Amino acid sequence: MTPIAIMNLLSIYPEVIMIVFGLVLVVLDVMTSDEKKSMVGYFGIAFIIITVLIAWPPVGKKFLGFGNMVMWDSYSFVFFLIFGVAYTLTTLGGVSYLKDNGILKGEFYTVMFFSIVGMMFMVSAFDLTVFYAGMETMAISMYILAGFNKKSVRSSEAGVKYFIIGAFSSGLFLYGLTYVYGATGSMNYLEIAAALKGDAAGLTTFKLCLVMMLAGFAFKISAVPFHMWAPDVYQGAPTPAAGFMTVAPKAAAMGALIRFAWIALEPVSGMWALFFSILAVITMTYGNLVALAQNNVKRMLAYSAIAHAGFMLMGLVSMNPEGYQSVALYALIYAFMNIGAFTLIGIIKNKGMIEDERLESFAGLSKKSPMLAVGLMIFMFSLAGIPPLAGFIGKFQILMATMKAELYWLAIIGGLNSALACYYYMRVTIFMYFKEAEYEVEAVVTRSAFITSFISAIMILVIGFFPSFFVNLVKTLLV
Amino acid sequence: MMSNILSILIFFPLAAALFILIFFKGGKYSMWAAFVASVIEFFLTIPLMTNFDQSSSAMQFVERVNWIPALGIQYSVGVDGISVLMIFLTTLLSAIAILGSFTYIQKRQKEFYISMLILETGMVGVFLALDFFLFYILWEAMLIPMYLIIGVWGGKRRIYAAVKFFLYTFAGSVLMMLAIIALYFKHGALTGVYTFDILAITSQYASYSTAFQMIVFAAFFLGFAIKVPMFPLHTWLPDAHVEAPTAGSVILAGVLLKMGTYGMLRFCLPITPIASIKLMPFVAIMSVIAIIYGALVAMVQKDIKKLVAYSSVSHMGFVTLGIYALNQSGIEGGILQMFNHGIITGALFLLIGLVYERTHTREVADYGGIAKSVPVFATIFLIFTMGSIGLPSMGAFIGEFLVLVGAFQAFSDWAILAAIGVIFSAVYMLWVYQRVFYQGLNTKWENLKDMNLREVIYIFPLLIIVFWIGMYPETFTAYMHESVKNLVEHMQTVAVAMK
Repeated sequence: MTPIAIMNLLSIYPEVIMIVFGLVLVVLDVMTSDEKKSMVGYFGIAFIIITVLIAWPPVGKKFLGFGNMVMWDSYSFVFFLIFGVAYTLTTLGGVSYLKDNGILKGEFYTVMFFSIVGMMFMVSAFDLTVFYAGMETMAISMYILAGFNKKSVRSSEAGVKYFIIGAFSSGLFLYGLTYVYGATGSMNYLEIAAALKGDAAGLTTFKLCLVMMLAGFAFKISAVPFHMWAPDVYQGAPTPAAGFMTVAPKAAAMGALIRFAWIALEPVSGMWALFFSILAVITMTYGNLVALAQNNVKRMLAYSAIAHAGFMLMGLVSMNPEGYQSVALYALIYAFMNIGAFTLIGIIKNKGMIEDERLESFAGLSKKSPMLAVGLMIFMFSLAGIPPLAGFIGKFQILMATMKAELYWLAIIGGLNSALACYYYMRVTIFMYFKEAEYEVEAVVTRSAFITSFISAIMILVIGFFPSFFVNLVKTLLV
Repeated sequence: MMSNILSILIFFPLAAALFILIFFKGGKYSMWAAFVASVIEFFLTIPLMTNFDQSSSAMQFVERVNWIPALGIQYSVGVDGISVLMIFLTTLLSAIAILGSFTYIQKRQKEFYISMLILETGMVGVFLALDFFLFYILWEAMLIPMYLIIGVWGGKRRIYAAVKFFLYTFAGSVLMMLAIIALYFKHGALTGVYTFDILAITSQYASYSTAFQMIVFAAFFLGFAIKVPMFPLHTWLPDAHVEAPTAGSVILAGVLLKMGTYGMLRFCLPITPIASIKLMPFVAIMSVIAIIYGALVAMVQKDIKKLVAYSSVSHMGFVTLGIYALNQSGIEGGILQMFNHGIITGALFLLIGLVYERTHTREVADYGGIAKSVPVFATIFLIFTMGSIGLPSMGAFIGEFLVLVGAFQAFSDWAILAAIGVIFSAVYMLWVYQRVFYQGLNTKWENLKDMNLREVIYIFPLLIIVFWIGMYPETFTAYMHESVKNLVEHMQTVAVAMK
């Protein structure tokens, strides 16, 4: 093989391995009986672990292939790791929920598995066409996952809603993309940057495309005012899928956006930095304010997911290495705490007249199942960013990056927002610890849910107390 | 053992809490285990006190371990003349508060004692931390157990009080975190070394511009003023005190409030001296307002616990007044007053708690003439009432006296007003004492049981200390002389440079 061919192969080999494994999963799905479909998911975990081990990159090495279209480097790897964590936790934690709702199907796992391939392409893309293809792969998988519980009206609604708005945002993005080509004559990040260093940046068409593309991105990360789909979708989707959807696609969009914005749009950073800082402020504040008013925990977490997206945007606009290191670390920590929280919420069944996820269902849980309450409390306080839990480390790093970029006003707003957010996370603990149970609630911690939440909680404590390993991991990998 | 005594002090209660969590089932065993652990913790501070070198202002027993080297974060702890007294106070009050909860806490005892021990770890850690990151983590982490203690074992409006307490403190400390990060980058830009080491950041104080100091000071001061609490940020305190269980109130008044003033001494003065000197009159005015306002509001309270809570606002005003006098006697008086207030108010809360256990009311109007049925209780309560007023021969007198001496040197007008506050404190304390113990014999309480042995035991050490400080304060002030002298000299050099 010629060196170019080897380089091409190296630049996409993790994705290739994932696709092959994905196809194996499809075959395995056919071979397993209906009751044992969770085996498909477990095989998926094994495959991801194998791929992670194979794909572990030599630090600092970059494989740029196919005429500078795809890049496999430690940056892509870190995000792959986050997707892997999200997949593993969702799979482990979701078994009982899927079984109870009669939707324990192999497709759940294969679709999720393939969505990861799409996300990997998004993050490792160095060309807008590759990026777009990856984004659509991910998005279509997500539509399926959102509407996976086809017998539930809410889930179907979530699927349709997500599909329509997602298609709209993709269309907008695609339209903007054509203008990029028109203005710069290329789809490649490096060539776009080169063109922008010239006079392309001044073109009206380019400004137009920037608006449309950034709006498309904002849709994907559910930034306000492009967030309308998020609460309904997260609330309606099956709980494990919702946990996955709040974490992985968001991390992917954020990772891809960072790469696109910092490489392709680097010459015009002044144009988008302010746009995203304002977006970050609106997103955080809006997400938190609305979350304050929610009585449904799942919906509250949906709004909190919006707020967290706003927080991560602060890392993007800080435009220093600390910025993207902190976003990656934040996404990883967020995967643990959010999926952990969704797992535990998913096992609460209210026998009364109200919805399972209403706050009232959580009343008195600390007496009934103390371990569950402790776990949920850890996740809630971690989401609120209270030390010594991992959520604080993520928050701290992002604020540090923002302060380093001398965006003091943004850091202050971010800090105050985290104080605001504290209240609604606390409300869950108030109901669990301070109130007496009103309804008959069933909360059987199944083995799979226990394992997931246990791993997540332990990771949150470990990252919280000994963040050094993880801080160094992202620091060395993301130089 | 002496080389890592501080780490032992920090982690021993945590280890005990985990031990109880895993090995004990019933409330009875965990309660005794927690008590034994807290007593051991207290006795661990004795070698710390005796081995402490009083002739040095430097940090002692320092331990440093790299924690997150990538960010320049260390686990580093140390103790100086200011914090050593706070450690003593913390471990003493923790043990007493745990013993005082034996009968008060009736539900979910195991969780309660675990929370108390975790809280103790946080408190001791905050006073010992020499790294901003460690300090901040412990400062915040402490909120969770305290939040649970108020929220689970508190009174009727406990949820409101717990949330208010939590959010107030959290909001204040978020800005503090940003100030810490700003200092980190400033120090890094100046020296090339990026570190959260408090001593290193403090040592560069001369390089921080006035504007920068003002901003950092404002952020720190807001966080600490909420904790102290200073007027007008005090509104969480009465709620939290009234609703918290006795042990919670004792720890809150005795230790948590002191963290605010400790933070001012440790950070505001040394790191931002120019801002401190410039804003000295402002803080003095706020302190005097707190003294007078707290006393006046205390006077009209119907609930005894609320009365003591407002008296805390007033007494803590003396502490901040003394600290911001920025001279030897003012600061020493402030620290001594921190200590006194912890002991006396802690004791008052314990006494109120034990009578509440019997009568289930804290309304002043429900009592009357109980001195007849509970003579021992009445006597002890009287002693601490006098202590709170600042009767000579008792601790608070020395503290307030030193504060006023310092304040007169710095700003005599305000000191006069502060002295009036002392009179007010006599008014409300004596008045409530009269109404509860003497006036209007309420026959309902004829058969009220007097203090039992356990209750006398946990009040007794506090009684001794109150008189000890009153008679021979040097035992305690000897610890702080050098550290305070160092601090005052530091402030004076800056003040001279400013002129």
